[in-house]
Amino acid sequence: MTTAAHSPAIENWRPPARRAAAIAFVVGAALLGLCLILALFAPQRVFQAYLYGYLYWWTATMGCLALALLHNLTGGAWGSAIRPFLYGGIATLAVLAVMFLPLTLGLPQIFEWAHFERFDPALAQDDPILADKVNHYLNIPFFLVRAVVYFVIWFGAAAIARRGARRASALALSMVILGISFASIDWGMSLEPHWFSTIYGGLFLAGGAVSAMALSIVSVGALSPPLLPHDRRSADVTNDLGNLLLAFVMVWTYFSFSQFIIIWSGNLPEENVWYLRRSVHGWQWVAIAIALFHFAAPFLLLLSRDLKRNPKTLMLVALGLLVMRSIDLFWIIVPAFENHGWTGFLLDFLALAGIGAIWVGVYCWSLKPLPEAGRHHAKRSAKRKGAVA
Amino acid sequence: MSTLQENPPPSSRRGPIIDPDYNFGSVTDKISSIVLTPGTHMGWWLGFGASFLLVMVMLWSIAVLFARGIGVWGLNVPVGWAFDITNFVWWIGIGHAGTLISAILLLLRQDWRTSINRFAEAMTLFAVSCALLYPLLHLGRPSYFYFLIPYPATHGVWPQFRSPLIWDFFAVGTYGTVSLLFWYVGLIPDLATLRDRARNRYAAIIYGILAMGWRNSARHWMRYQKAYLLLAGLATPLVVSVHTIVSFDFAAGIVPGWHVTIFPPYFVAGAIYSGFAMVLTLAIPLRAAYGLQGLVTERHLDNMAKVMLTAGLVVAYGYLMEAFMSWYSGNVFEQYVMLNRLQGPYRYTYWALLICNIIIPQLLWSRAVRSSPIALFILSLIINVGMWLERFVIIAVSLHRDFLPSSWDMYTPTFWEWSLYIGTIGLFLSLLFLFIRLLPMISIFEVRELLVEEAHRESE
Repeated sequence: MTTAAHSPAIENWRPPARRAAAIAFVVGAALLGLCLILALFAPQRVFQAYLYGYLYWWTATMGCLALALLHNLTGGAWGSAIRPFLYGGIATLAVLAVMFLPLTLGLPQIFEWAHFERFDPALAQDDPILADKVNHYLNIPFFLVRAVVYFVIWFGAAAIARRGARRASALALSMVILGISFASIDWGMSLEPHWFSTIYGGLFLAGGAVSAMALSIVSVGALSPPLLPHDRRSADVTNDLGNLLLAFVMVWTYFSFSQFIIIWSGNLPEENVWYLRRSVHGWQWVAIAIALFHFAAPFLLLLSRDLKRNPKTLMLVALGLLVMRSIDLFWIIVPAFENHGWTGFLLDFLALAGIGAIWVGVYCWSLKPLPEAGRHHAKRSAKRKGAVA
Repeated sequence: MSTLQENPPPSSRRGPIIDPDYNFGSVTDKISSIVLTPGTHMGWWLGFGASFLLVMVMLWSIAVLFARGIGVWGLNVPVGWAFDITNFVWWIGIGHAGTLISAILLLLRQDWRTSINRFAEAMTLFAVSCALLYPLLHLGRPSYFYFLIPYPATHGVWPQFRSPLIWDFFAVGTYGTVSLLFWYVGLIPDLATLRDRARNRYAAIIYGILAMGWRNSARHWMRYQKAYLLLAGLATPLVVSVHTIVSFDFAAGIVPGWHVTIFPPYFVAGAIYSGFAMVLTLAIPLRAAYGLQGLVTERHLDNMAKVMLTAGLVVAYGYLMEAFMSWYSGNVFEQYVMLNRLQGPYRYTYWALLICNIIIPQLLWSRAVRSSPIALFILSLIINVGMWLERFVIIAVSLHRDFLPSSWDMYTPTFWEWSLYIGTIGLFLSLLFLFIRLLPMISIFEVRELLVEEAHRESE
C-alpha cells in the first residue's frame, strides 16, 4: 500500500458537470412554477405541500451539517470519504433559507394556530389550551423570530463545520441539535397544536442522519467512481458507511417505536389522536410500508457484509431509504391537513420534487474536489496510513 | 470495521494508551502479582472489613423487612415506589457502562477499552446483583417471585405480557446472564495464566478448574475469538434494551412525569452517564492503590470523561425537552409536575440534581479538569449523587402529587430504607474487594495483545 492510498484518486476527482446542476435548476424552476400556478386555484393545499417538500430537504441538510460536525469530533475514514458530499449538503443551507420565505407568507394557510391573534378573548373561551400557546409561543411574530435564530445557529455551525476545530464543533453540534429539535416542533409538531411528544425532535434528528448518510452513499456510488477502485481499503470504507447507515436506521426505529409504544400504552385521548389519525383512511398501509421498508428490509439487507462492501448494492439500499424518508415524512406531516384525496397528494410530491431539484442543483453545483478541511483530513489520514503501511 | 481504527481520533496524540515501558513479562507480572502475592495488604482488609460490615447491615435490614413486611418502609398510597425502585434503577444504570465498554467499544475497535473492560464488567455484575435485590424485596412476598416466570403452572396464572414489569424481568434476566457469560469467557485465558503461575497448590487447582482446560493452542484462540465477538454482539443490544425497558416501567403508565416519550433514550444516556461515573469512581483509587497508572493511563481517564460529558449533555437535552413539553402540553397536570419539582416540598432534590448532573459536569469541557484524577474523582461522585437524585425525582416526586390533591401525600424514607441502600453499597464494594484480590482486574492477555499492536504500529 502506497503512502496515500486514496490521495491520487481524490486529487484527480472531478465534481459532476455543472451542466447537471443547470438542468436540475431548470427542472426545479419548472416544477415550482407549476406549483405557483396551482397555487392560484388551491393556495392552501400548495402551501401545505410546500411545507412537506421543504421539511424533507431541510432534514437532509441538517443531517449533513450534524454529520460533518460529528466527524470533526470523532475523526474516522468514513467521514473523510464523504466530506465533499456533506459540504455539498451544507451548501444548500443558503437556498433553504431563501426557500423558507414563501412559507412565511402562508403561515395561516398551513398552521391552525396562525389563524388567531394573541390574547384573543374568543379563543380563550373556546380553547384555553390553544389560547395559552398562541399567547406565549405559537404566534406569527415569535415563530419568525425563532426561525431567524435557528438559521443563525445553522449558518454559524456551517462555518465551524468547515474549519473543524474540535471544541467549537462540539458546541456547534449541541446548538444544532437544539435548533433541529425546536424547529421540528415549530414546523412539524405545531401542525396539530394540541399534540405533544418529547421525542419528536429526536425523530427528525435520526431521520436527518439517515437521509444525510443515504445521500452521501448514493453520491459516493454515483459520482465518485475514482474514489472507489475495488481494492480492499475502499471496500472497508463503504462497509463502514453501510454500518453507519444501519446504525442510524436502528436509532430512527428505536425512537419511532418508543414513541408509539409509550403513547399506545398510555392511550390518553390527548396523545393517541396523532396515531389514530395516521391509522385510518389508508394511512395504516403507509405506516405498515414504513415499518417494512424504512426498517425491516434495510435492516436485514444491511446486515450483509458483501452488500456493504460493494458500493453499487449499498447505493441501491441507500436510494430505497431516501425514498422511504419521503414516505415517512409524508406520514408524519400530511395527515395533519384536511384530506384532499389523491390529487392533493400528487401536489405534495410535486412540491417535494420541485424543491428537491433546486436542492440537488445547489448540491451538485457546490461539490468541490475536496474543500480545504477535507484536504486537511485526507492529508492527516494519508499520513497515518503511511505510518501503518 | 478496520478503517475505524486506522483513523484514530486526534486524541491519540495525547499520551500513550499503555505506558511504553511495559513489555509482555512486566504486564503479566504486574497484574497477576496483585492476585498471586501471598499475604494481603492491611488496606485491603480494612476496606473489605468495612464493606462486609455494611453487608451485615443489609442482611439485618432484609431480615427486619421479611419479619415485619414492607410497612417498615415509608411507602404510602400515592408513593408506592420510592427508595426501592430508585435504587433498582440507579444500580441497573451503573451496570451499563461495563457492557458499553466491553461490548460496544470492542466492536468499534476502540483499543483504549482494554485496560478497563475487566473491572468495568465486574462492576456491571455486582451492580446488577444489587439491583435485582430491590424488585424481589419489594414484592412483599418474595418467595413467590417465580410467578413472574411464564411457566405452565397448574394454577393457570400467567404474567401480564402487556406489562413492562414482565418485560423488565426478561430484560434484566438476559442482561445478568449475558454479562456473566461475557465476563467469564473473557477471564478464561487469564485464569489459565494464573493457574500456570500460582505457586500455591490449591490456588493452581482452583484456577485450573476455572480455566476449563485452556492450553493456549491456536485452535483454542481461534474459537475463543469467535465466541468472544459473538458474545459482544449479543451484549450490544442489551446496552440499549435494558434501560429502555426500565424506562417503559414508568413511561407506559400515565402518571404525569412518568409518561414521557423521550424516556427511552434519555434513560439509556443516564445509565451510561452514571455508569462511567462509577467506573471512574472505582478506577481512580484503584490505579493509585495498586500503582496501575501505566496501564490505566490519563488517556483512559480523558476518554471516559469525554463519554461522560456527551452522555451528560444528552441527559440535559432530556431534562430540557421534559421541562419544555410539560409547559407546551397545556395539560395542567403535566405543568404542575414541573412546578412541583421547581417549587414543591422536594424542590431541593430537583435543584440539586440540576447542579450535580448539568451544571458542575460542564467543567469536563476543560482539558485541565479531564487530566486531573482528583478532579475527575470528585466529579464522578457528584454525578453518582446527581443520577440517584434524578431517579428519586422521577419516581417519588412525581408520585407524591399526582392528580387529585386530596390523595397527595409526603414520602419520608425510614431508617430501614437507608440501611438497605447503604447495605447494598456494602455488598457492591465487598464483591469488588474480593474480585480485586482473587481475579486479575485488568485483562492480561488483551493488554499483551495491545502491546503487540502498538509495537507493530511503531515499527512501521
